[in-house]
Amino acid sequence: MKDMLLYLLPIVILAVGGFSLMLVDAFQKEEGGLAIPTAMLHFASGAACLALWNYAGSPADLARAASAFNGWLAFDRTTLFLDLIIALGGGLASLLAGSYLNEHKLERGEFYTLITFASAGCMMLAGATDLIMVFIGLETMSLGVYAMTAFRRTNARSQEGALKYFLLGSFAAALLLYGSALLYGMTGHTDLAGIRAALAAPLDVPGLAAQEGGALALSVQQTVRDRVVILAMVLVIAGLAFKIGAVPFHMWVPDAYEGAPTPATAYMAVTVKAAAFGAMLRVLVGVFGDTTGAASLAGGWPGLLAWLAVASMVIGNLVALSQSSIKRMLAYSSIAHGGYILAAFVVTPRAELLPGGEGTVGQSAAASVLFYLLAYAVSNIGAFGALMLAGSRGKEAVSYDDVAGLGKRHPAVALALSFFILSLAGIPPMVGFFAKYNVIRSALEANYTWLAIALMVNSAIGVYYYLRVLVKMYMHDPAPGATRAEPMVSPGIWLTLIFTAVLVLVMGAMPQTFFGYALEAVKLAVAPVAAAATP
Amino acid sequence: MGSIQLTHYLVLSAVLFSVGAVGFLVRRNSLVALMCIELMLNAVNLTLVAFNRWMPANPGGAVAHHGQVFAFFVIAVAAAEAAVGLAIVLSLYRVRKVVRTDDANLMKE
Amino acid sequence: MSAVLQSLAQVAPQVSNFVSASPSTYPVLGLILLFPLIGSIINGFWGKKIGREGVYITGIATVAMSFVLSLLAYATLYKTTHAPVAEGAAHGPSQLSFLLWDWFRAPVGAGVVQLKIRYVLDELSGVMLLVVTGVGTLIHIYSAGYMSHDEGYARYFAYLNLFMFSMLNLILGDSLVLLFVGWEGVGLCSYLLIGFWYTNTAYANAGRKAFIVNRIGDVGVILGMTILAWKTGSFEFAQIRETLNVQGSTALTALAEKPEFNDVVAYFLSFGRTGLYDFWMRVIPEFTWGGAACFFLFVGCTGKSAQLPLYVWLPDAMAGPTPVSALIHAATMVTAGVYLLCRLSFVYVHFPSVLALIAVTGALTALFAASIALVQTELKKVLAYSTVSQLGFMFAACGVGAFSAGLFHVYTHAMFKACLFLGAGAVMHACRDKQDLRELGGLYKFIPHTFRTFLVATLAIIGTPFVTAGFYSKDELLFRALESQNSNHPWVGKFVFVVLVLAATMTAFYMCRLLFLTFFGKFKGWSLSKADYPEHVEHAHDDHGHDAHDDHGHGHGNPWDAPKENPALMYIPLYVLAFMSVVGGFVGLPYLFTHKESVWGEWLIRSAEHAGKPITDWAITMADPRVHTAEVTAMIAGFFAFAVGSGVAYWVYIKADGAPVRALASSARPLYQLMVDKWRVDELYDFVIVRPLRFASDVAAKFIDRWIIDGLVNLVGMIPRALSAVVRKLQTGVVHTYAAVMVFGLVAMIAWVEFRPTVSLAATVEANNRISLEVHGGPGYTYQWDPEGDGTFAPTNDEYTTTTRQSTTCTPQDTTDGRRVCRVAVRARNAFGYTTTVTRFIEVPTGDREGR
Repeated sequence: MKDMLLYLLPIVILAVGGFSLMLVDAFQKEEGGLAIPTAMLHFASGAACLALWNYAGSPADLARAASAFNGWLAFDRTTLFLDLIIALGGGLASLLAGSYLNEHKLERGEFYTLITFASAGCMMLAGATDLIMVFIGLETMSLGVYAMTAFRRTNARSQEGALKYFLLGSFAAALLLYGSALLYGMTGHTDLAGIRAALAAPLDVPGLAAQEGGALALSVQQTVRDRVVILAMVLVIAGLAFKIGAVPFHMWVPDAYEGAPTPATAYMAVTVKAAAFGAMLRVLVGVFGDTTGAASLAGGWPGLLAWLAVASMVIGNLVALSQSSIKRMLAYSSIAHGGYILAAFVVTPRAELLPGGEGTVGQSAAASVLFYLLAYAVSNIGAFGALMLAGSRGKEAVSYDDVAGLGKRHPAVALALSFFILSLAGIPPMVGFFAKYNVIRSALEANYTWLAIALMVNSAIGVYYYLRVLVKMYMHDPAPGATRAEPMVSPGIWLTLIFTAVLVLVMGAMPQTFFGYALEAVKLAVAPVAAAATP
Repeated sequence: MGSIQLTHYLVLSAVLFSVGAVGFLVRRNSLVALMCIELMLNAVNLTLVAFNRWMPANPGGAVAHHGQVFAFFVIAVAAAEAAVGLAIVLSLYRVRKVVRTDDANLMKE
Repeated sequence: MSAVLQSLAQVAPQVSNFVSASPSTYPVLGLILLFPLIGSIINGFWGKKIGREGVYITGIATVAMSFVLSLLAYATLYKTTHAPVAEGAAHGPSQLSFLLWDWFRAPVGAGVVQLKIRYVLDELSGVMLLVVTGVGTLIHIYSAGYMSHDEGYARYFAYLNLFMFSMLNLILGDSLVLLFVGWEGVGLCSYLLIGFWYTNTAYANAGRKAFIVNRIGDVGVILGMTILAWKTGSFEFAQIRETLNVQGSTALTALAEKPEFNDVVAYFLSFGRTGLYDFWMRVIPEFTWGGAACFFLFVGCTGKSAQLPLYVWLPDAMAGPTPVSALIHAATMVTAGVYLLCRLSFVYVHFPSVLALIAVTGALTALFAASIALVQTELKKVLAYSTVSQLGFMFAACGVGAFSAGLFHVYTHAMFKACLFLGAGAVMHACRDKQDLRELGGLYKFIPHTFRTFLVATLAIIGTPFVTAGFYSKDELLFRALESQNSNHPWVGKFVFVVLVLAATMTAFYMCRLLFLTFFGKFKGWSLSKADYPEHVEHAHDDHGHDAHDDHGHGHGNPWDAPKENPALMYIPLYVLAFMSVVGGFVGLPYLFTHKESVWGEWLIRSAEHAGKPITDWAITMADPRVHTAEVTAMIAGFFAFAVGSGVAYWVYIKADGAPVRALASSARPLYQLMVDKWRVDELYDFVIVRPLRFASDVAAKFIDRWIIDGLVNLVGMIPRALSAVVRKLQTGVVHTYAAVMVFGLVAMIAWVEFRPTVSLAATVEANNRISLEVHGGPGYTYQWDPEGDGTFAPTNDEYTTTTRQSTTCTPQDTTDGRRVCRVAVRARNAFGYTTTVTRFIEVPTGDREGR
């Protein structure tokens, strides 16, 4: 019991905190003032993750945690790393929200309750090792984010984006659920380890083989099971791919991102992606990831995801090219970034050993995924924060024209924004470059040369539209007669910007240190199953 | 084979799921879309419960009830989802006076 | 009080521990870099807040701290390298290093190397470190006076500090990659500072020119770096050096390999002509990979260090503030190319042909730039071409294998050229930004401090015998050129010697001319009486137009006031540099005088001098009687150059007041004009490169462009746009479309897993042609095996097993290119009954044939 509470600490802090926020909000006389407490809650949760890091490093710890939760939640370092990203994203997003909501006359306490519960949901999803838990985490997260998207209640776009997000999200959740139900039916288990074990063994129905014609019946049942399992796998992939916004499940992304209040956009771009990738890592690598041997294709999902990755990169980048709103451009580019991460993700089931004690190819690729998620989180939240700060009072800076001349008008914000944009574009020495570098390296290590080339070509397209922001900021003057943006004054946003800018630079200067943490984080979750003795 | 078997339930729930999905695709009223999602979730519930009912017992003789537990969670979550969904539909109606989903197309391309 | 002392006593040992920690963890190196970075950050972000004084103090103090720490580090290095050597060891540790952190892993060749952020101080980087931080400190101090009227002082100091940080990265970095980071960093700062007064279009263009020319060089650096790392398996200098110093090491063999794709390259370069093809086929195989690496790196050096043919950016770079010209474009950044050559001397000595190329390029640059400098009329332009010329001297020295002599000249040149540039800045500061030699004159009365120091520095650069640093470094360089023996091209040494002597003569002439025209004669800048001041004031404004600088004045109250000496903040650095221009040379006293290796030579012998190659390859030993002759010859030649050049200048400009030049100019008008026009190289480039491109594009625009090229180019740009336009139409905004796309995607995914079974086959080769196979499909996959590769699948053609592992002894077949492969195959069926066959050819070691 003691163990259980200890391992649950990051989630408990957020859940209890969420209820407290609700109470405080209900009983306080005026609206507002909850941003700092919410951010503190998230940072406390993040601190708990850091504190737990050393208690989650060995298989024994893992087994203890697993037994404490009956295998519903995994508390290994992968979870902690993802939880850290989620806590960071949630905390920084609530800092941003504190100023943004005030500025746009939206300040109501529910936002902070929603973000706190959504973060708790994200953490559940990131650590879930049971299909029921996956579903609960996913829905806790999603319901909060739907409501946050609809938070600008008098704004038609906000409502529309929320409706689209909600309807399609529920549809995707239903697909995921149906897949889960089929998996359960075929294996008798909802926990991932049980499903994996059941799938590894040939089907056995007690007493059937002894009956007349039993052998045939058994083989027919075996075939049915195999087919249904593959179908279920595809359904589960569809459900999770929706959350990371991978093509062809990406259509909601631009609309929801554009409609949502900017802090919510920053939040869901970062945390939802992190949580969904965590769940994918558990389900796909944990159940279908055939990590026993040197080169594994694991039921075809890596090949499938490779196509999704390329499609996401291509479509995300192409459509981002022709956007006139930076917010919408960032939404499409988030699809592309999802594609880049997927490109590393497809390599995760590979178990060849790398030279130089870096673990296996798969572990290195999974670490690339985590590193990318972290890099994307800091760059993206920073970019949205800078965009917010560049806006005029009551009017958001969302189009390219809104940032024209920002370099002269507000050099500090322009400088910060250029850091984040350069990082997102993948230009050294920002962290985004090393994130992409790791992904390319992983793809090449697994001989996915075509994937690596696709990634490089797409990065080049990306550079074009990212640099347009810089060109607008530094080389263009605002159109005559355009409303002069009065930059928002906000210590909360400044704090966020400085923090993320420093992280972007520091992680860019010492990428291997952070990659090392990521690698440590995946050592157990993507461990190659000990190869059976050769016959 | 006169009695009702697992297969019947599975086929029924698959049909229900498909009806829900097709309804979701073709009906333009957002309230109907919500109902279709409910239908799909209930189809899943049926699948889960049916699987659990026909699940062979463990060697010890006990039957795990994961499927039914799962179904309870789905029901609970579906209720929450419906609440959020209706709230969003209402809110959209208040702003734009529309309930048809294809009228909500301010944002595109 | 006693408590304070006590705590001090406790702290003291820790401090001393800190500074004299073991050679492999010497944190002071980190601090040397950290201080300028901090200064840059403070000035960049809070420059406005801390005010003018704050900016100056921050800027100067951080660099000065770096300098003090550099002295400390240098002393420690000296102590370490001269520590008593343990029995049996060749020598003590020869470097201090400090590992900050592991940077990232990079695949190199077949393996993976760990790149580190690690700084190393050895004899070579020590010298550069002292020059950079020392001169840097002086110039920061000077800048505080020089920029005192400029609005952008905070930005200026932020850039300058950032430059120091980048330059230190370049010098102290332990690997090619870190060096390249510094290389790009100094390039960026140079670009920012050239265009510092970016509101002036001409200056902004100068910045852009520097940027473009340097990018050409960068391509060279990247190529050379990549080839070198690929062939030696490392980016680290120390490791490369170690591998190359072993006779017959694999790295050495790899570098000596000739490119295999010569056929392809020759084919592409011959445009279908057999003659050309034969020519290339004769030439290209002569190049080795190592030679190519050295060549490309040298191309990078010609960009950064302004050598032929990429020197064109440096004269234009004088658009920046004068202290910047002194620090970046004379004393430090432009010597980065020489530093790189010295750093990689152990690679270069293996490729004498490339060295010959470097020597000839350097010598020709020296002569060529000196000839342009003869007739330039702008103070800074003369100095700029003089810098190009002196850099040519350094390259020539490296090219003849005398790396330490080249570095010696880097060091003395930094002193006197910085002094000259700062002096020029002082002249301009005093004379309302006038720098046309025809408008100056007689200044020795008005600005005596500047005059004295300028005089000393001029004496140094023209190599006044026996007392100045310039004499010793130039003498060393000439002597080394004379006695060098390039094994491939023995004539190079003599050729370089002759050309350099000529260039030195010209140097003496144009520098004396500069001195005489600026400080002697009559002041011609403006009328020193009240009479006709308005037009002169206007004139003063037209040329060097950073208006902010001018408007706030230099403290001259009336337009007719005489030029006034600058504040002490500006002339004290001049005195220091002038002092160093004299005594700085004594560390390199020639063998002829002392009969032993000079301090300088001895200090650098391990890191740059003979670079691991046997000494006899490159230089005859000191005991050889021929050395004596060569040294005497070099000294006489140096003296001759000094005497002739300065004597002629004295006669022309003091005795005859410039009449001979005018006569010569009128009699040989075309030649004179050609030299004034800098041999029209800019025009040549314009003609050879820019014009043809423009012409071609004009023709193309008129005839083809509108119909084909335009269409094509637009097409390339349009493909993404057009696709974009199409794809974005999919985003209809209607939720049903979205759902339909999702369902369509889902169906496609299901189809994919059903119809496209995917398996992977892994093979491990064990001894004696034994191969372990392992196949992976996933749930529902079954397999048939054909481990012998004979086309028959087991168990039978219809039956599939769940066996995922096989072990087999194969019969290898020989391929046409001499490898031996085994053919194995597996057929896999997925749960839906679709099959796929995977065939692999597995290479087995050829050695097994004998083993059996």
